[in-house]
Amino acid sequence: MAREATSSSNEAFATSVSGIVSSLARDYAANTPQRLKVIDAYMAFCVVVGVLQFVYCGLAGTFPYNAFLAGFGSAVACFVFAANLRMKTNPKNRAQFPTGSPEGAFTEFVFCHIALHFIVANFLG
Amino acid sequence: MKPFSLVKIAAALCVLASTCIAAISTSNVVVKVMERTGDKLFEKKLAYPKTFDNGPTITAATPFSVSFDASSDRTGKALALDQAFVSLRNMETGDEMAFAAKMGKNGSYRMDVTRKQFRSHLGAMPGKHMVSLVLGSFDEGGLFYELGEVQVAGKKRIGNADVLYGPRDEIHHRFAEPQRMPNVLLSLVFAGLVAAPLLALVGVWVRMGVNMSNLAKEPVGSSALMVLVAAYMALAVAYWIGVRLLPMLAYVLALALPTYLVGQYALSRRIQLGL
Repeated sequence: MAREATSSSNEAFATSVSGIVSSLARDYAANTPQRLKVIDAYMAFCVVVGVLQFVYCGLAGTFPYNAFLAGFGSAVACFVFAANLRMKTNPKNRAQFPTGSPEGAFTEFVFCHIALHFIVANFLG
Repeated sequence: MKPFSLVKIAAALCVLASTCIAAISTSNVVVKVMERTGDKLFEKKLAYPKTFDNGPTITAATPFSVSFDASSDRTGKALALDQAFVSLRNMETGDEMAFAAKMGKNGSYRMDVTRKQFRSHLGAMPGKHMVSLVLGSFDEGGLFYELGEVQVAGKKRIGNADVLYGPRDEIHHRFAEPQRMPNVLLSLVFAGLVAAPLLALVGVWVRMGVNMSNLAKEPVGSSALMVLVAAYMALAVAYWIGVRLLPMLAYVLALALPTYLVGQYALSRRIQLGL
């Protein structure tokens, strides 16, 4: 009796988790503007690149360490800049960012990336 | 020829002075060797001129301390000494190391040989050492008090310690081991793996419906801005390969104004056109 109750509660939990995930995906696809989806895809790309570099560092060792730091730091920084761009271009955040426009946010994004890439090129070695 | 020890001269003068002028007297002389945990390995209280026998072995891990009170024979009051050293003299080589004793309250003094001091000063001269107090006061004279012998642990240094002006021992430099490089195949596989998400990103964007159709509505400014941003990226790559900072900075400054102006024009045009 106790085992049946446990398995049924596990099934209910799994169903609820999958239900939540699918509902989230549907809501995201329906209600998120395309601009934000583009930025989200870019952010996911930055995460994947960072994780791959980290796995490589774990397998092959840290030498040369500065190159790993430059690459991983670049991925993290790109993610942060993209997150900021997303926050500023999200129409729902207009109250928090009353001044400025999405084009202004994009300008800041580009400027930050230029500065970042020079720093990374300097640190790569 | 060994130079005559300055500490020996000071000690001799102290002894001579103490016979002529009113002397310094010591009390509560305690020689202590402790474990790192705080347990006492050796503790001996002495009264002048007695010495201790069966002295302990001092290592970097066992703090060694000597504490004492100094007072004037003439007035009986606690004394602020002008010179308070604890000298450790190697009985074999004659090398000496003097540690200053710090004054506490009411004429009490304490000297501690810390681990760092042991490694930097005593570690290179192991063996039997005579511990002595070398005290001096301008008004009261001096005192030289041999407390006893201790054994300083450590490895004897290689080479002839007596040679002062001759050739030193040859130094054999040990180069750092070269870093272990990863397998070339592993590096190439991961280089390909890291490039793959970029293709996936472009594919996802295309699937989302990202296109360049709006570029035709405002071609000049947008294209020029992209060319200038690409120029900055190329400059970063050139800097990475060539590593010439000042020319790179000159190019950065040269590109800055056109990029700003073109960006301003392109983005304001996009706002005007409602893109």
